[in-house]
Amino acid sequence: MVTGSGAGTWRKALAEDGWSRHLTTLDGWRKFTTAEARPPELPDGRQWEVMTEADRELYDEYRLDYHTRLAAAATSTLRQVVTTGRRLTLLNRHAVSARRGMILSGAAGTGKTTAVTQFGKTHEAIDRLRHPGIGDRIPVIYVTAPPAATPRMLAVEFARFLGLPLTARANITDVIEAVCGVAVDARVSVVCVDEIHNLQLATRSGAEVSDTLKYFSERIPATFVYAGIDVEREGLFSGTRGSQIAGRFTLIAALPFPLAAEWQGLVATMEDALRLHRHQPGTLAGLHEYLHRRTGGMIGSLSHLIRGAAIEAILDGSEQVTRKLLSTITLDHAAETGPAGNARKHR
Amino acid sequence: MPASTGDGPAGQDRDQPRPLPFRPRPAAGETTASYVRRLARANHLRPGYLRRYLQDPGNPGQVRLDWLAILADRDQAAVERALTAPHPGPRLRPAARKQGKIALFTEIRQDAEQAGLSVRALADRHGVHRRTVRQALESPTPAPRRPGPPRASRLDPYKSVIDDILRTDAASRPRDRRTARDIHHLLVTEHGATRISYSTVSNYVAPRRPFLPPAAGIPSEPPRPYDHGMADEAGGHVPVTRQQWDEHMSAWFERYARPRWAAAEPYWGMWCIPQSWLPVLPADPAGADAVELGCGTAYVSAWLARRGARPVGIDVSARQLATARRLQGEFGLRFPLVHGDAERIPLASTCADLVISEYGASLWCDPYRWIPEAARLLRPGGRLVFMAESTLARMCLPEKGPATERLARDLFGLHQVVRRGSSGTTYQQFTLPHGEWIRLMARCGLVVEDLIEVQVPPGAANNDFPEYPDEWVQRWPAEEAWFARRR
Repeated sequence: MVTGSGAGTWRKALAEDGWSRHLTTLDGWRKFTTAEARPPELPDGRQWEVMTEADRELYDEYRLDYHTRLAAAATSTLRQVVTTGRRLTLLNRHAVSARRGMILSGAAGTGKTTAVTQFGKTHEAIDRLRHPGIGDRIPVIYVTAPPAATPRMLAVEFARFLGLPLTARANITDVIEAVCGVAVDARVSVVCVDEIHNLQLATRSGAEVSDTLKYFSERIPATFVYAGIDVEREGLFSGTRGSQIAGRFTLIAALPFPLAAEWQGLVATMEDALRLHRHQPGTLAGLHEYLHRRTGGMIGSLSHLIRGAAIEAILDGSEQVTRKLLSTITLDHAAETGPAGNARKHR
Repeated sequence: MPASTGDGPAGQDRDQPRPLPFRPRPAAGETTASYVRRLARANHLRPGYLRRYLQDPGNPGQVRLDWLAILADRDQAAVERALTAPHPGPRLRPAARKQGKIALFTEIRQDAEQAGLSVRALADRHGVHRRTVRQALESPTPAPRRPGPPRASRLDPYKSVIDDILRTDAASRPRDRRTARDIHHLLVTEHGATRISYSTVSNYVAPRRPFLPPAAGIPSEPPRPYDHGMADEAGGHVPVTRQQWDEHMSAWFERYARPRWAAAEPYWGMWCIPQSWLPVLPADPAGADAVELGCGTAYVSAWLARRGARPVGIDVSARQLATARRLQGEFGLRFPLVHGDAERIPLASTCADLVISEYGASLWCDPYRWIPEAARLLRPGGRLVFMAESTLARMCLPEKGPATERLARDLFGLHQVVRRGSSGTTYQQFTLPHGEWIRLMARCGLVVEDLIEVQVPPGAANNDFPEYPDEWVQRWPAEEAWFARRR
């Protein structure tokens, strides 16, 4: 039997759906940082069988929702980002200028955004512990660099995150003034800029955006964390501006996972997080070599694959993830056509 | 896992307000405009910008309260209640209170006459004290209220400082007086009055200024008895000089005062020759008692004071001295300034180790009078240093026009030189032939140690004294500096 309170929890969780789409607003970010992944409790077999139609629908819906956003696994990259980030924020605490930063670079799907947002979440949690009950603090700003950005667009991204009202009349000076003023007053100590590869230093507007970011980093006493795809090859470190960035930022490479113990552990962690009724524990752990071949060691693809399979298992009622089910899930293009994907076809 | 994040549609954001990062609470009775202003300031936005953002498109004069409530992250009803609550109006004015009391007295008197009630009954009926009833029965007009104790002000500790400033300034011409802003600045920077606002100071200074006479010891303007003393047998040049400076020249020379006070290295004369090129000041004036004769805005004294000497400045022009005083305040250098004549110095004999004059007494006073006075002031071994236009330059300067290659004046009998100012006034300056200078000083117990005929260094510019062209000063000295020592 499903208790009323259990159904209430699911309803509430479903009503709060959609926060992840607004991670670049303060509200969405706060919800993200305070959200706890609540794994649904699996009722035992009998309870599950006697569940009413409506309850079962709600229950399945909640489990679907849960599986679409499985908790982030603590990978080595994530740990490195969090420890380096912590060290930098402490180092920068009393720096008046030329604060040090961190750039996370790697191929698509290696978990950069996850690592950066998890670092932000950790930092926000630490800040909240240090300053309990102070609601005005905004310890972390998280923005994404818009494609073909101009300095104004970047400034507007910051303003939008903070919730400053924007109209077409706002000129860039006003927006930057307001952003910097509020950021200083709100004690911002970490600024994460994602999709930094959208910045092309070779173009004029890209260089101007880079200068704007630099200006922000001078005005806002915070540690700046950039994440982007292969930024060292995209020219972020070349030229005069690039060499200054190279001189101030620690580069952390997010790489595909090799087929090793960590990969196995990762697969096992994700399998543990599954909430399926007929799933045989250890199935996926046994399939880790197959999974590595399919995904090319990309955590993004792995997550997609396992979550996709889990949702499929709920939808078709089989309630277990098997190799057969996994093979029906179509992966992203990179994984399907990469060396690993080709190897699969040749077999 | 967070999904893709770059999808916040900009147009939608502009239409839908979101809570601001900082949201001060609306105060009860606050106007909407004031609250919007405070919200804007808290979030580093321009108030006008936020006002336009909140403008009701249908009614441009109005602020959209629903949006304001969202920005402030508060219940709309609560915001409306706070912002439209009636303002707690001004306290009943004394006149209105008095009107009310007259009406009360009238009623009490009517009741007493018509109903014949006792004092106690009247007090009960009107809810007042029996004392008030007795007052009403005595007179229909209420007695004036006793004035309360004077209100304390944050300015109280500084009032004496301000009064001192006003008294000192009362001696100066209006244009030289410190303004309320100057005084406020002084209080903040030198007296640590950080919590005093400019308007507080201004409100105190403005009505108070006319009532403060100059402090004792500081001559007010104009000191008539002093003029009397000066109009003496010397042909009356002292009052003329004084008038010339007060009315014409000080306005012109004031502009030179500040840069000279501020200069790290002293510089001298019409070509501003630095001390390193022309060492007029002794090498180590520290600890010396110095008197500057004809100090004007007293920058030489300031240079001396900064080098550890104890200078006293004497000048005939009160207006020049007012500038000097103002600069003393500005630079935080204090030394005595005496309003007096270098030909009759109001100082005791043998009080100085150094008597100095740059274009002061050296130019404007009669040498036969001021050199004996300087010698009187000097202690044995003390030095006299003075600088002015050279004797040669005097002879080459015709009545009109620049210095020539011809000798325009006689050397024999060279003493008084009448000059005509640009405003048409005439005044007198003084110089002597070199031999006469030496003889005069020797008679007074002064031994000449050096005479520097000043050669203008290359590149030095003189924009203000066109009577000496560059070609002339390349060949002849326009200025000279004398150095003598008291036996």
